Amino acid sequence: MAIMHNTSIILVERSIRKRGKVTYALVTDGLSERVLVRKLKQGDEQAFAHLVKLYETRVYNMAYRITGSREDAEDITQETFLGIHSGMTRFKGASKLSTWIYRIAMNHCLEHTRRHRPEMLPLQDDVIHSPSSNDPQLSAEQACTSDAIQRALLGLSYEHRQVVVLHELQELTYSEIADSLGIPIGTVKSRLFNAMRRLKDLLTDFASDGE
Amino acid sequence: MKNSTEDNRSASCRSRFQGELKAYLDGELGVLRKTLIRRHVEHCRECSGELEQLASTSVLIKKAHVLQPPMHIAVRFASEPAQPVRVDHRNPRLTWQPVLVVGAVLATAAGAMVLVRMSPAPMHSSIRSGIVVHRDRVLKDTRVASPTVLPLHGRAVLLAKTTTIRLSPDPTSAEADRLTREFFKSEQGKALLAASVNHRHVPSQVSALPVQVAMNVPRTRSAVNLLVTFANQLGGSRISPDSGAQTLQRNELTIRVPKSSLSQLARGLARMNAGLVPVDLPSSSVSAPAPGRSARQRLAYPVMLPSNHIARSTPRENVEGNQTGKATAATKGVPMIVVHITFGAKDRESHNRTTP
Repeated sequence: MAIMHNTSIILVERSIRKRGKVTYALVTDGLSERVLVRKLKQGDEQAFAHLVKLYETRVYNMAYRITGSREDAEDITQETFLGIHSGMTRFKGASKLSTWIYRIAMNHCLEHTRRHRPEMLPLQDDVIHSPSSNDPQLSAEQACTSDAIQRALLGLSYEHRQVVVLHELQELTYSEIADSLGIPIGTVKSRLFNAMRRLKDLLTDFASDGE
Repeated sequence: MKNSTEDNRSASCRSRFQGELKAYLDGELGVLRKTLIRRHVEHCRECSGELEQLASTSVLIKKAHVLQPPMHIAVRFASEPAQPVRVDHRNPRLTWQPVLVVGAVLATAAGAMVLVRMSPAPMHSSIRSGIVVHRDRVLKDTRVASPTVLPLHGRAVLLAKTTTIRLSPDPTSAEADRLTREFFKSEQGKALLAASVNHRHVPSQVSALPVQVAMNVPRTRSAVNLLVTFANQLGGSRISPDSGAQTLQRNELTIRVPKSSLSQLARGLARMNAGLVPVDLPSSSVSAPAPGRSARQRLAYPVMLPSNHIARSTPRENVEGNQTGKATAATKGVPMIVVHITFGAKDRESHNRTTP
């Protein structure tokens, strides 16, 4: 048993080391963040299009994982970029551009969640739109896993879902999450720990349901 | 004795370290705290088990698919940023390319409340303001000019430069009516409505107007069936023409739906334009298209709506016109809106098959 414990610890430490190599810096395809921000503030439309290209997938995925609806995710993505477009002059550079973008996106997610439209038909977009239905390479098992993950995420409270999505899927650091959500790092830590435990239980439930 | 010690240690570590295990796993702790926890985990079965489970959960959740937003839109946005649009008031013919907006919507006005004033657009100026096509906030006092339709995530966004759109102080006046008509015949108005209908958001101010929708799906019998069934499902009905055959000949269909269902209708039509069924159905109830079929071709397949999705009639009844022009009992007294639908490219094969 002790050997098993040691093995797991080694694996965990390797995992940490591996994660340590991952850079979370803004990838701007040759444009430094400072230059990009300057161009955005000058109203450079090419720069804005560049920004959209850089962040739309991230924002879209974040919104989808939080709302569980592709259409809401599209709304949020659009509103986020419009918010960025109109509010660029308010960006003072106190935080990273990415953090600022995530903060705007999170605010829109919250707004959407609050005014959830009951008259809308429930979407099960993954049934029709999932990558598995377009990409023959993806197996049904992968699709099931992805579906279970999404259902488990939606089983979390909103606050827990936020931190899990930002950290585990968007790979933000704790301080970036704290900046984006406007909460202390200690709160991020405790929310993330509790969320992951709850997520583990939910995923276990789905796995046992599937058997 | 040893077991007892281990148990005590496990019980105590729950409060001391367990809350920090995730941070330890993520490398978010300081050196001292990290060392303490590592030493602790080496001897604590409970914490090492917890750590292992946290790590495996973290690995598992990263297997979630990365979804791609609508790529064609992103590419277009990136490659063709904000080109000003020339507006020719003497000729209302569209001069811009409605790439995103597949079905153009033309609305005539009856009681909406918009005053539009246009001025020449400076071709070189940068975007200063814009409006988002949104169901519950549109056409507010917003500077909109030389409308540039920026397709962004399935919605057209009108970004403005010089023109001003403002609410009329008296929305019931004849003048407001006239101006509203003019606006919705203008390119701005068309773009706005097209964007809203094709992407499910319907401005509330527009919901009282008759709406014309141009679908890009071919006029197959199954598409007509689907539309009529969908209208019935929303509590509406077919108005004209009287039969499916006439629809196929005339290439048009007029339905009416409750105003409250307009956003659902618009959303359904948008889905049909994308080659999907208008409502989310269990996958087993939709005939799967053969591999290699295009999105447009999917609708040529029979689409079976489950019985609980069909509120008042079957598709067959609708095509034969048994309920034409008659609101169902359940919808009496409900404010309705008329929607004229025209179909896209003629499907010759289907047309020949269904009409002699």
